[in-house]
Amino acid sequence: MSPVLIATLRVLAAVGLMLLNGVVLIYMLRKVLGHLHVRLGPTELGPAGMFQTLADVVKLLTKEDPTPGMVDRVLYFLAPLIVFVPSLAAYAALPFSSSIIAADLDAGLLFTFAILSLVTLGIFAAGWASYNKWSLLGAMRSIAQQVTYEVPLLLAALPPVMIAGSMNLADIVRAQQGSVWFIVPCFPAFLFFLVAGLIEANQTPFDMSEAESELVAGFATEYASMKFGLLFLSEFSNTFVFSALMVTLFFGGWTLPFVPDALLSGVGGAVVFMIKTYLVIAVLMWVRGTLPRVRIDQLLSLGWKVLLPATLVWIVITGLAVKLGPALIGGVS
Amino acid sequence: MTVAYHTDVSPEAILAGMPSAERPCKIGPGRIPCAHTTPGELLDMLRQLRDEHGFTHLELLTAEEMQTASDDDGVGAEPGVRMVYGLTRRSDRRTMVIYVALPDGALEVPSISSLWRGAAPLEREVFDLFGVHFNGHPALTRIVLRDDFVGHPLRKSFEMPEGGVSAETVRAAAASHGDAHLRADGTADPASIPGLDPALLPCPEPGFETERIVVHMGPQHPSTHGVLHLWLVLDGETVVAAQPTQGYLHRCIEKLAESRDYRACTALLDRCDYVSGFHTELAHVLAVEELCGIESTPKADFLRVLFSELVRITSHHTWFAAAGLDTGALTPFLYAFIDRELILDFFEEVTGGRMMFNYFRPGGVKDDLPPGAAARMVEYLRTFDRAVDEYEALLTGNEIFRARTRGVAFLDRVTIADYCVTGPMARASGVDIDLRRDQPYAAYDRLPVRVALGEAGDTFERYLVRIAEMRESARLALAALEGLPEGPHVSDGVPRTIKPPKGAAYRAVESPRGELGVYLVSDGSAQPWRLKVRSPAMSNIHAAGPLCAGLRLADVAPVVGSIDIVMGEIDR
Repeated sequence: MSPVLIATLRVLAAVGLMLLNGVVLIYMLRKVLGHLHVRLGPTELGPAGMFQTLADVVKLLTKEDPTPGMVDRVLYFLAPLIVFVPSLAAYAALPFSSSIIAADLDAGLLFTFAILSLVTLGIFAAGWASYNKWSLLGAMRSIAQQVTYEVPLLLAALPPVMIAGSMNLADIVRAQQGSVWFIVPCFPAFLFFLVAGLIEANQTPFDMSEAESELVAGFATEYASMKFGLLFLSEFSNTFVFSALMVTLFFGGWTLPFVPDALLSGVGGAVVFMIKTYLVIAVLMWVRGTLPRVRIDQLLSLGWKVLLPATLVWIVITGLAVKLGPALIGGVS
Repeated sequence: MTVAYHTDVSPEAILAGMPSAERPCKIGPGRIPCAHTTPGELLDMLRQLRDEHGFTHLELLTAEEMQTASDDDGVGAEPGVRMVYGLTRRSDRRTMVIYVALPDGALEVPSISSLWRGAAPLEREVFDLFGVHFNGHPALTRIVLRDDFVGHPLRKSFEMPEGGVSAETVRAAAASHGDAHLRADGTADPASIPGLDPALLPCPEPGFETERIVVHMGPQHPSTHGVLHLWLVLDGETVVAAQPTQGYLHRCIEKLAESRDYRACTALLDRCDYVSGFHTELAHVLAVEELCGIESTPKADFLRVLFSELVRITSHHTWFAAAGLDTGALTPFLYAFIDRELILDFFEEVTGGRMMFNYFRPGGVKDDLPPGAAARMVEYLRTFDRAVDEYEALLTGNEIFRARTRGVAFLDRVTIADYCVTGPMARASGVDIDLRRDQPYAAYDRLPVRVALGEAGDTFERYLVRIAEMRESARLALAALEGLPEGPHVSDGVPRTIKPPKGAAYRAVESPRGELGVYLVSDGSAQPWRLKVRSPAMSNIHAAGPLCAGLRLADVAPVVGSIDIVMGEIDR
């Protein structure tokens, strides 16, 4: 097979995975939140309401797609794509198992962060193009949020990188193979990553840019039909990528303790990886069903005054431990 | 304003000693002292009553059409409008009413918004519905009807054009009026917001051109609790000024009441405050009973307390649900609504309705409790505290919820008096008022009423006070059930068609939002001459302006939620 064909197949697989993932996640959100709310969630369509989301996708696809009168038409049309494409591309470097990686990049972690930060650009474009003050406020918030949290998020991801000695996501997982998962030595970093990631993925209690009780629907207010669908889907996709990163960095990726690596190198590893990721997502949904939303100024001060210094301090500690630890333990360096 | 009030001086004596108070009289069967004055002397007289005699609470501001036939309670013979000002002294809960007669052709009276800022929206309502002009009013525009409406519908001379208002009339009026809030490019012109200080608008940032944003929050907004509309002037995320507007849910209830008999009005008033219909019903029924001299039975009194308290719980359920939603938490909403459902089932069982009860009648209540209902209510109420514990577990101790509400939007006593704020809003700031204890009605004088009182006056305190009230209400409802006397649930001899003698009555009850009063004027016929609902939420919501100024945009929804408004009651 030609390399082009392989690349195309990989992209298609990623698109398919993302769409399917979105449908599954929305169903899961409805069920999990439903039960947290002491109600049932969808029950009618298919077994346990499983096909409800599919029906909703069909609905979104067939809905009228009106464009409000005074929007910036080019930007308004492009914005959902600018949001959607990076969240799609972010799947590329995720190591589902040691053999299932779309693009095994040496700087996979950096790539994922870089590509995800483009999403904010699209969100700002959407808010700016919509000619709606609520959208604009949502967009402004998402920029403020981005500037505040990009740095702590990356810094919180660094301790595992320092221990593993690589930015390649698969290598980070391999470094956890046979030893403890990085959540144990890097527990504070895990907490910082969780908070910063919730903000990055725009999840409750930090869903600032579309805070519906304040900003109607924030940057997505003026969007309908599949344009809205794309914005919506990419949000779920970002949540998935963030959870997958968390699994990769802190929960041993595709590995399981006491299970031989040979069993987990192919599809088996991918299944483990997906299950772990979905468990993380379930926790995020639990958070969503429990907590109110913080205020934007509280969020920003948390970022600058707490998370940034704390992550920096933890990096110094990790650095010292990595350099001096073996010397202290083994007596030789 | 620390003047020693001579609270031992009765309102009658005060009025008798005032040269500007003419024709002292009483409204209702000798309950409320009243006097007449002239427009020229009104302002001085009210200021004197407020500052020297302690009548600090403007309980009622409305108007009624003059009854042309002169009679003993001093009603003038000239056609025109009579302004009604009801004042209350907190220290001993005595009330007095000042009338100002305005003959047609001279419908002008000085605005008292310089004494009570909360009077401004009430005066706008009178202007809207009666056409009375208030001199010196900051922004005298229509408040419940559309700006291009022609005429003043509560005047008896008002007639709808044949077949309603024609499209031509509306178009012509709109063309002459224009849309005052819009600039030529279709954007909102902040300078035209009624009652907003234009000095707030330019952004003082020399050398750097910025603009303040004016946004409409509502009437179509997820967290405006119905159809409230707030103009917000924003400087980035900071709210520079907030101005509530209302009228999107005006259903002419007061006008409709004038063409229905007294019993049928009860059904209308259910639709007024649709979250706690029993309270509006009760205020009306008490006023009718007072006008006619009907007594209700002891059993009915207890049933009235029972349902007033149960509906207060469901109303606070709705508020609690919104308190979660406004801060972005969805789960409290569903928790509260599950329990609300159980109480609504009781309502349905007894009254047949879940929201629109039409249950209280002059002389008693419509039906007795069905067999077994009392036992089931007792069983439910005994476990009620556990449900509230669950709500509290969700929000009270939550760090984020506390950070969002503690120290946010302090309401001080001056603002409370200025805007005539009542109910849990006032109690959360330490103003110890509760009609159930201070002016007992129904069976409250026979039950131990404990008033939930706060101190801090911020959003969190308002939350705590309402939570405490839920527990208290359950306790009171339980006490009412346990003390339920035997006997008939409605008194005999209430005529089928109620025709009260000429006169007026004002009765207020403690609704979940504050003091809800019904001012009822009878001309001796089977229909009320005037029925005015004193809406506590209307007075409370206009305090949102000072409450929200300086906050963040994200705070507006929780703060407005902590006012606990029901637009149906505000717009009527």
